[in-house]
Amino acid sequence: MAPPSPIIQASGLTKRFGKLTAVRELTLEVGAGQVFGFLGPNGAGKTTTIRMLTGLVRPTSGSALVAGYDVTLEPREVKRRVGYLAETPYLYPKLSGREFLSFMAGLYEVPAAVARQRASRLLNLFELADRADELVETYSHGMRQKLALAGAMLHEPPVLFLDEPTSGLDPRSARLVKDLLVALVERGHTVFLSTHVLEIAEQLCHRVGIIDRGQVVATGTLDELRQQAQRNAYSLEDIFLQLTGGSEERELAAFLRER
Amino acid sequence: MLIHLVRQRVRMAWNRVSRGPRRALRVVGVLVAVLFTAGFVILAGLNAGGLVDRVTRNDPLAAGQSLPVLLVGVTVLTLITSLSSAFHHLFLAGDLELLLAAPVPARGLFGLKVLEIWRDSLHVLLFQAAALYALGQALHFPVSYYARALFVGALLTLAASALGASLTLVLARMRFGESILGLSRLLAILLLLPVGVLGVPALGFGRNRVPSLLSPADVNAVTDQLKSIGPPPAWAPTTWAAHLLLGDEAAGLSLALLVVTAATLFVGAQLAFDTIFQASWERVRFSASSGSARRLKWRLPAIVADKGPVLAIVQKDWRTLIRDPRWRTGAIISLVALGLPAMLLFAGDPLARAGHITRFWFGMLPVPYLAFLIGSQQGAATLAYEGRNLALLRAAPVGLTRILWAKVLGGLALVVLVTWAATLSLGFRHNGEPLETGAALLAATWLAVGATLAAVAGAALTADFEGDNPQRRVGCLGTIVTSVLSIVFFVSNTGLFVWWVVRAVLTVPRPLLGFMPFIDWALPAVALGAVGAIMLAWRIGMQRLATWEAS
Repeated sequence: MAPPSPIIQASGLTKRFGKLTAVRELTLEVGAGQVFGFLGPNGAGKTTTIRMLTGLVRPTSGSALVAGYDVTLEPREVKRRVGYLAETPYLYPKLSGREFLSFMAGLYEVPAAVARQRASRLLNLFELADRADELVETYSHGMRQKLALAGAMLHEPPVLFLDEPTSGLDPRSARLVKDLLVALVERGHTVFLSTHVLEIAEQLCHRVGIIDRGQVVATGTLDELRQQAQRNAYSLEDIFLQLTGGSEERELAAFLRER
Repeated sequence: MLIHLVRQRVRMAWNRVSRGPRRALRVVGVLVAVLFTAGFVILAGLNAGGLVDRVTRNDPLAAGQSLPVLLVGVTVLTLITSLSSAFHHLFLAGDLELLLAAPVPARGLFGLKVLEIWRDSLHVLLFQAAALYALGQALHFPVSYYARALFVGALLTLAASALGASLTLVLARMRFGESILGLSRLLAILLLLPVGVLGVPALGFGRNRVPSLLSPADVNAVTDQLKSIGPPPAWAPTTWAAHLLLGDEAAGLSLALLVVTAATLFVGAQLAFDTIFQASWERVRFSASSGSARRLKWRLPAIVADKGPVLAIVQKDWRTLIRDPRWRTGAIISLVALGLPAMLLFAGDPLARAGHITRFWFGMLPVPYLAFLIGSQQGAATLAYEGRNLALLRAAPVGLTRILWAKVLGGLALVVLVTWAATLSLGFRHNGEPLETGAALLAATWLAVGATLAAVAGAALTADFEGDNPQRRVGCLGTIVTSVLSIVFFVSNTGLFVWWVVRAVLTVPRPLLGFMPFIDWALPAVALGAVGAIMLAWRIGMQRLATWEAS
């Protein structure tokens, strides 16, 4: 079977903040209709990469095409075609859930009647319908996460960038999100997923990219990554720890020994 | 898109008042805040117009000069106020990332930001509206003047806000941009002082009070000053605005020039936004903060973990506050713009001819003023800056009383430092004896503690810990509550102290002799009542904090 045509293409993407290079010469491709897992230790440059690919932050050098549009030259066209769920999404505490979704529909220019329908459907899907007319400030962390995800999906973007989408969700809601991602991909959407939960990446992702200290250290399917890592790496966790130097694991072990 | 964004802002403002728990209390709070703030500024504007009325009786030509002067003043004030608020709206607003991630056209986002910046100059706009109204009344302008005044006022201030946004975008890219913006806030306060001078007496006595407080000689001086300014420069947009308002023969051309200039300014500001905003935002949001934190790291000693939670909170507060440019500029503004003039006034020894005791004790009057000023600011800041992290403190095994005392101690450090420095320098200036200076230091400490306690209690009662901007978490109602508590404490305790000094070492003025037993009893009772009110506010504030939950 021919590999799907790439919907995200990044080439030599670099971002510097003053003297700090957050992302260095990042090159990757994500095929349309796939779930791409983007893994890496804290501070590795995952969020900066997503911010560049969504047109939020301009790369210092390099280029990227998302849904056929250049993120530097046509950021607005890119934004129209992507949904972005930030790691700590901002929600307006003084709007109700339904009002927030209406607002998001306005931002993405979704016609009002369509937006109302989609909002109702998403609120039902995420089990928020009962509380839809209450202010967001009364929502729990998980409910907020679900509302933010609904907001990112409201305009039915072909590409979804999700930064830690299951953070703070209970197992039932986390499962719901996983099922939803599978359903979205079946309908042709592409998901670029940044996560620390390796189990999710293992279950859902067609391909995985691992970033460490701003550089992509490996990309490919799980089998391909296994080949790139040492022979005794069976799970994604083993591969991840080997490719990123396992520094966190070593630090944790050292900390426990000190205790 | 702009309409959509504005509608959402209006909806949030409406929800803030009309929905959620304790709605009635919030409605009352908003009403009080609106009446207090708007009333104050509007009366100040009416007084400014009243002053023109008196100048008109002196010299109608000089009164005509007041219109361009007023327009220049208000436009400059809006520009400088916008410089200080633009930084928050353009770079630090909580929802910025959400808006930037959406395909919001730059024009819509820029329009929203200009309107938000403009809204922050609401007090200037109200002052301007009232002053233009009173000026129209004083100079007997026709009805059409008021419609033109509305248009001109909105256009000039909106253009000033757009210019402020552009300048902020440029400054944010510069190395010392943040310092310049801090300085602009100082300037905004200094320029607002005359508004305060016009407004404060108006609160109690109503319109025309200030002009009637001015002697005919003062009014003559204002008239002479207005005449000495001469005709305004023909190229200034405020001069065109004045022509338009006066409806003279140059009104038509002035309208055209004004509209073209404003349009050019908006287009220029939009272009500046399109070109500079992204880079400025990235610099402020992602680069600058980490750099400044790194620079400060080595200057401060480590947090002492084994000295208990109170000290740890105090140390943490000081670190976070002095690393926050908004707090730094706020503290400097209070000290320089509001504290220094009082110190300079009394350092000039205005009571040099009085006896030593009068000269010493009455020369100390800036000390309680400084205690009130810095105490109410610092006490509120230490609690309000905690924000949602209050939940973190409450999760620790530390009682709320200790948390609040830590906040008082954190705020008190600067208050005591300032009041002691003022006491010692004024004591030295007025040749105080060691015993006198020691007593003054004790009194200063008491007033500092009281003012800081009042501020922490007021903030505990009203602070919105979820607010984006830590400087606005206490809000209008909170500021009013804190100010009332502090002022009652400040006035009653200073009054009691002055009374004791008068009773002990000076002669009681003859008119007060008959009331002495009553004053002896009433002043301590009021002072004690003020302390009781603070304690009550403290207790209710603690109850509120105990039930507060981060959303």
